[in-house]
Amino acid sequence: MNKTEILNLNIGPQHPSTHGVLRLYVSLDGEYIKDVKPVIGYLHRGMEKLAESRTYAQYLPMVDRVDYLSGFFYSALMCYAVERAARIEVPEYAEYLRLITMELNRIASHVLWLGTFLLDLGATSPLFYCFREREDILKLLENLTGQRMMYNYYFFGGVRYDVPDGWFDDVKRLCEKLPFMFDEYEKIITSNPIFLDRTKGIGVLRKETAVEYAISGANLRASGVKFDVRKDMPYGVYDEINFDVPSDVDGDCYARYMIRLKEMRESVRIILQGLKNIKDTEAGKIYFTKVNPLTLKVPEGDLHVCVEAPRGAAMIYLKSEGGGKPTRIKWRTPSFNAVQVMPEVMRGVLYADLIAILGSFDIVLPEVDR
Amino acid sequence: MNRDEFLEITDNKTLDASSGPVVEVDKLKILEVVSVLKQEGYDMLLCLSCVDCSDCFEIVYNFYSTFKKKSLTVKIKLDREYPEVVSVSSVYPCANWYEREVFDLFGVIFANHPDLQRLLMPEGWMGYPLRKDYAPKDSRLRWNERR
Repeated sequence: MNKTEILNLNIGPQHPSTHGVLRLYVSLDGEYIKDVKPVIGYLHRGMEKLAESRTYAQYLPMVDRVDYLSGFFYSALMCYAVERAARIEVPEYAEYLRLITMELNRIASHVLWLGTFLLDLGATSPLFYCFREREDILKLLENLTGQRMMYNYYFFGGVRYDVPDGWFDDVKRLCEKLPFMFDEYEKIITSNPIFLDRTKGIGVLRKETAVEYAISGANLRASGVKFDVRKDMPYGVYDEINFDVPSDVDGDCYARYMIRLKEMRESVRIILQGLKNIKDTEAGKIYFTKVNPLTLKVPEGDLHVCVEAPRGAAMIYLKSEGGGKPTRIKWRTPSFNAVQVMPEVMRGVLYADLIAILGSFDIVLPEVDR
Repeated sequence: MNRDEFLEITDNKTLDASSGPVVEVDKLKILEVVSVLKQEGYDMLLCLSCVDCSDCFEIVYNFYSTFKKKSLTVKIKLDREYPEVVSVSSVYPCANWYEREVFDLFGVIFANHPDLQRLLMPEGWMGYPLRKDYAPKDSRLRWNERR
């Protein structure tokens, strides 16, 4: 007598592999996933409401907390939005400092993703390799900003401090070392048969689905759409930098892994070019345009600003009514869309692949809930 | 909106790379407008936000075309007392959660939405937090005000 029954299973909200507090309500048919319902909101901190009762300068330190792994990008969004709206000029030297710190942050974020992704797949040792490099980057950033994660380094009109002595040489030394470290990862991971079995052809995100759900960043490029905000809507000094946008057509976990590894190598290239170009602008060493945080007012109007965060296209919508406080700030965060597309990717796959797929999308939950 | 009107709007000089040209349309026409936009290659709905402008609600759609590498912003105005507009999630599936978020935080009703429930706030939460008149006497929201 064959009788089948659908089993409903709750994964999370407290689960070590959901990278935060995500609840997945899964319907299982044997070992296969019939449907997934992601439930979010457990980390909602009301970032958008809090903005309304604070001045721009008071709100800026909170912005790092939108995504704790890539704080620079959200600070940059806020700064670019206010600078464009209030027409504040940023010195080129400061723009290059932003470029270098953002790309270092991108590598740190991707390296952490790599470690935890492999941990999700059951490989413990790569985590130690990854944290070794992340530590080097975080030490450099700590040297510069005094913080390891919540940097609070950018300010309207530039950056808060100049670099300490010898910092550029340290960055250069690290950037020359990093590609060999990436080679080391590739030696351990890329052709490992267990890794290939668990990622090749698993969690395929079709190109059409990815675009319909507004997926961005490495996840979208792995599915065959070359959309990179740094190239397509250049901000800062990215239009003076020469770099490639890696892309793939498979759209599976393995493609997403390969894209992120290639992106890290591109980031190293960008930093080295930035270091070279910053030498020409170094003469004056002007790292900020003076802006008084107490009297800063943004003229009436609204605008969108978009940057390429490690997880995809992050966007801010800023509306001002001319006062010292924003009327409305809306954060468009890439992980929000990545969680939303989960049911499309997971329907029909084996339960054992669920964590591998979730890990490969590089989701950070504070960013989803804001 | 027909094709000629559309081309006229989108050929305007772009003021800001991320916002693109800004178009204001009637709320009753929104589904028609987004269908045309999708056919014209604006395949991504990057952002959907709502603003509480004391006398109305403004919904801002930000589109991006991965072929043309262009952005476009569409705005509609809704009545403050009875904010209701038709959902665009049948054209852009990602609007499903965007609209749920706007419903959750502003109380805007999206007609024909497949699953209009709270997204970020807990079930059974009273009121709509991002409205300007939400809990104005709550001291926790005022601790940082300068008087």
